[in-house]
Amino acid sequence: MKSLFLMMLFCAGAVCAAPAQEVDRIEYASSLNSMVSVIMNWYGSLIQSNELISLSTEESKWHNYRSQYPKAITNIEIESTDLVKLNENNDYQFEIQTIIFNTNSNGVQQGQKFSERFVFNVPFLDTPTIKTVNREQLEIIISESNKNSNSTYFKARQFSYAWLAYLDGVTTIVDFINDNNWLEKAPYSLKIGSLEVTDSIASALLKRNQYLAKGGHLLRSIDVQKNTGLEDNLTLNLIIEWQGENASGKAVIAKIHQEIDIKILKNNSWEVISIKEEHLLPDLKPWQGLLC
Amino acid sequence: MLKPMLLGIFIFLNTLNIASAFDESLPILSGVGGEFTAVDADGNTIESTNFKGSVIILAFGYTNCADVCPFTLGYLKRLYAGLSSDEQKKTRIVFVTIDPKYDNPDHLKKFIGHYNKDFIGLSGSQEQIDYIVSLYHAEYNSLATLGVPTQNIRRVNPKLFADSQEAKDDKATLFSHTITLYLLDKQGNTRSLEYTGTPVEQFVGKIRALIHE
Repeated sequence: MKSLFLMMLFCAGAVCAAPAQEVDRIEYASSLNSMVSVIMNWYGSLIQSNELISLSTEESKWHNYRSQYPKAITNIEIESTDLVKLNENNDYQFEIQTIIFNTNSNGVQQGQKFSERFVFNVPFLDTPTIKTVNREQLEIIISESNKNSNSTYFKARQFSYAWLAYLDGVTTIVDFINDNNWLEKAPYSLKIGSLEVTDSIASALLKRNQYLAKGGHLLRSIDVQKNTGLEDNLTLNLIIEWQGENASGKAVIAKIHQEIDIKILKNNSWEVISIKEEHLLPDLKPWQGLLC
Repeated sequence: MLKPMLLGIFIFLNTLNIASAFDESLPILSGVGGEFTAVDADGNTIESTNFKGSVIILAFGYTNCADVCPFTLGYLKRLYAGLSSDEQKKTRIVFVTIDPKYDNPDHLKKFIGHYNKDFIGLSGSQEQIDYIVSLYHAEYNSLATLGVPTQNIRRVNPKLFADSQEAKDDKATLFSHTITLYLLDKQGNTRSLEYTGTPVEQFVGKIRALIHE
């Protein structure tokens, strides 16, 4: 049994290990991005109860399970995660330790520690399906969350991971992120060295594909800014690591900054207004920022 | 004062075994570098595409730099000497000034020529230089707002003046700047980031690998 073991830090969006081969890297990144997007939606929608589990095709299957979570959830903190590839049929097991904060029946803020085990099936370059999920309650902590892990926190990550899965080639995920058909409308500005273009997303990605043809996107950090004056708008700043090959088959690495402007629609879905992408100096050497 | 400190930092950093598999495979560093226009040491406009077909080692600096630039150029001289004459013909050492106001082509030619006549000095307008700096994600900062008399700057190749008034009037700005040496392949893609702490044999090996691609 081939297995991958990963430690993920959701708060930073950081993933520590990555496989060396191109096919493995694409499978690893695309599967990881699409699964994490589902998980972010799963937890985010527990806080914002009017959201549907958008990425699960069998959402009704989990209605009973999800109704057993604490009521009136205010925050969910993800403490740790483990990901293991279970078999060659693309089954993955995601173990997640969370603290779920809510107000109990006495009006006291409390946190409940849970360990949950999701088993996904992720066909190559397709959207994942949750096969099983199990929850174990570990302990109750009387305290308030000191982190801002609210529904926007999860929504931003759900969107970002789904977008990266789309860039990895999981085109089927488009149905879950393309509100108001923004993929056809939003401009995409691309700066790779002396190449600077602003075009439709489809055209910009075609040009980008000459530089980053086969590979995987790994999210290293995410920053969510509310735009002053435009309450319904957010700006996501993503730092992404990419490894793979260009269109000529040469090995390429990239450190990518994407600035994504988003408008929050009335139904709580997100429409992308614009995307700006710039390739930065990859973090390779400890002295590379040294000035003398 | 600064030089021994720098040496100390380089030696310390060199003790960190940070070589990764990337170093061996020399991947293209996406978005590092690109096409630009500059002015060569003869005052001619030159396009970066003119260098296609040669492996390039590109460095930033300025002629009034008393510390790291002479050290870097000394290192590049040893690096270049480590190549065979055939390999030297296929390799270009390019030194881009970050002080184009002072470093006109003539200044650059004299300065670079002290180390090796084959080395190429590039200057240009401030806008052209800033664009090249931005392409390579390099940095530079002015350290002194008042002009420093260049006769007070310790130099490997002492600057000669016609008279004491000229010596007094010749003033320059001091800068801090990126120390990275960018290794570019024959298509102009940046393939590795190096510095003067890289063992010469190791750097020569990477140049050879790119020559033979």
